[in-house]
Amino acid sequence: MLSIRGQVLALAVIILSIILAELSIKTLVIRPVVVNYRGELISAEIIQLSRIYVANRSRGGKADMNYLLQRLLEYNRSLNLGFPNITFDDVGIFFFLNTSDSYGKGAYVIVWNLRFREFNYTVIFNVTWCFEKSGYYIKDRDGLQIIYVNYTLFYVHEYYAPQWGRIVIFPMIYSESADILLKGDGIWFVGIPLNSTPSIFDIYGIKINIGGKVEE
Amino acid sequence: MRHLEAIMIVFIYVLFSVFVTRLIVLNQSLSNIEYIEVTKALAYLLLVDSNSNPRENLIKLLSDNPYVVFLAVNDTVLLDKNCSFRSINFVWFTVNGSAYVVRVGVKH
Repeated sequence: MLSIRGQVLALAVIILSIILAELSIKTLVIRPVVVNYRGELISAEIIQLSRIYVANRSRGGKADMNYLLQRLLEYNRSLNLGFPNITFDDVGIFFFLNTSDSYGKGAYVIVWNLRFREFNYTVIFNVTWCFEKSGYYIKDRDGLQIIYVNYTLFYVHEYYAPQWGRIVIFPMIYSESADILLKGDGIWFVGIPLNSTPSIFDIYGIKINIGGKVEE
Repeated sequence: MRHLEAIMIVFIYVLFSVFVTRLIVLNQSLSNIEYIEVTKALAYLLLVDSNSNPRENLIKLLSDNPYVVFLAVNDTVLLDKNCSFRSINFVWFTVNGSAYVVRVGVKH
């Protein structure tokens, strides 16, 4: 049995405990505690790296994915970027091109499997285009009448990652010698001088092949 | 009796410690939503940007963001509001193969 002094002390402790508990409940708003959130940033860096690789290779460059990966992982170690250990086996690169004089399509696809300790996920970089000849027109240039072949082009970038699902963008394209006119989301009218193969690029430097030799 | 007093003092100490710790955790978690929002904004910039030099667009995006208090590109400090911050590091690769190390500070 507690003495009077002990009972008063016990009562004081109980009252103080209740007050502190009430205060903590009132002041505590439940919010998630995130120690080191990376989320979208890792996937976005993967997409950017893919775009740089494709831009280089589509223009005939010799970019090496192994080299790019090594550089990325070096930065990952020194800056604690949160990337898992990626090897070349985790990357699938697919380039597809099928063009003729009158129609064609092409694609640059890179698939990344990111293997984290607790989970895995896939990031996909996908550039596709297709075109079809829609007619001819004549243009006067420096007093010369030049025949242009008119193509309707659809050009799109798609980026897949679990953080955002699917993002679709329609980049601007440009060329020094072809006529280019934007008609809508990803749809362009492209005029190319007859029997020529001008270089057409998007704003990221990726080369788009339109027209060219007739394939039987 | 002395044992009982000692037990109660320890109990009070533990309770008070738990309370203070939870307040500290609460204070730290306040910046998390902002931290995530800035991370998302940076990811979006990486997805859509075509500028070979990240400085201009980063400054445009982040100088008006009230949560961002620090910005450095390759150790060149472009924004510093002299606040404590949690940093977000990432690498910005350019088409010509060079890379910029970007460090963004979100207000703690």
